Amino acid sequence: MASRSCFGGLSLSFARIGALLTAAVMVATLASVCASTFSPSTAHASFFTFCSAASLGAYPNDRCAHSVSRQYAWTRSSVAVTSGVCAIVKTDAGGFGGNATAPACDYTDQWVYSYCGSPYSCNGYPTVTNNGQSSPYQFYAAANF
Amino acid sequence: MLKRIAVAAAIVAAAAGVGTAVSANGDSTSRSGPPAAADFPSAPGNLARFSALKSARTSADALPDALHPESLEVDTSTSRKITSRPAGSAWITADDKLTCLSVQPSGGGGTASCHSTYSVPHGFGYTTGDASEGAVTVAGVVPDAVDQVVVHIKGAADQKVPVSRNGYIAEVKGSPTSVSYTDASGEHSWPLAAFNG
Repeated sequence: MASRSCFGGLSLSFARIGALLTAAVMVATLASVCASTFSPSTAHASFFTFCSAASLGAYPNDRCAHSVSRQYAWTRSSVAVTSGVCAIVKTDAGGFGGNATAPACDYTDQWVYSYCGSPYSCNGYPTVTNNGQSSPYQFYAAANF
Repeated sequence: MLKRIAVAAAIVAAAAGVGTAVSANGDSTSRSGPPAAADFPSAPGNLARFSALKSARTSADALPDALHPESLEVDTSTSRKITSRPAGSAWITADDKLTCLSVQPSGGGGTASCHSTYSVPHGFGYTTGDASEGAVTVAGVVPDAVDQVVVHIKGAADQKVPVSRNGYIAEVKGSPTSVSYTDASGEHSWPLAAFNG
């Protein structure tokens, strides 16, 4: 079962090395990085922005989740053609990856997908946007490892 | 009337359902809430409007691995490459319940968007790319006998885009707001959203 925590992708490595103390320090550090890098407050003001959706429904942590080794992401709205939906895996300017990614936006009641240029090499997170507006609708996002 | 009631009932039931998908590495991922493709009503009549799907299938029609055919909830053996231009290439994949458009932009990466087949008798389009970088790619599918679409752009002149094999793809500078075409049944328009990171 794929992890749904912000640092799920890293937890396996931690188990392998068994360095619990080091892991705790790294998690604390990464928690800070994740919060500062991917929080809605740092999103650029724009037509559609990261993390601007009011809710990501079943996977709320995906607003700041899976910040490493993303293969692809998918999102969808629970309502048809009433909200623009974007999916994105975007290379983090701070490091990892570097492969081209392509956000995708559509009005659909089904999934929208964004794939890395090379599997498992991208950073970022699946996000759903609603033109920056708060919405009563539920959105769903997930990522694949 | 009965058909409409049946369709509405199917949608309501689907909205309350739970779907399951299997990821590329074999993980099982629960997808709860939104309608699942399997629960949509079949609409083979809509598929008949896209003759590319009935053409002889060649190796070029297969979805590239980079576009992760395993991620789609549609019968990917139906894929057809519908257009290839400097902006990129696009494939339509469709069955009676789901129609997907996969796009490989020339700039790298890949995307896909899917719609319930019953909801797209006039096709659909979507954008890929980041408008903050100056341009995005608009791609879409349209029924037979449509040879051109018009992309409407916020604060800029319309851009005409040719259609081949039911598909179109073009790079558009600025933020596109909709795409439209006119056929014997009138004008059809699809809203476009653009990511602007």
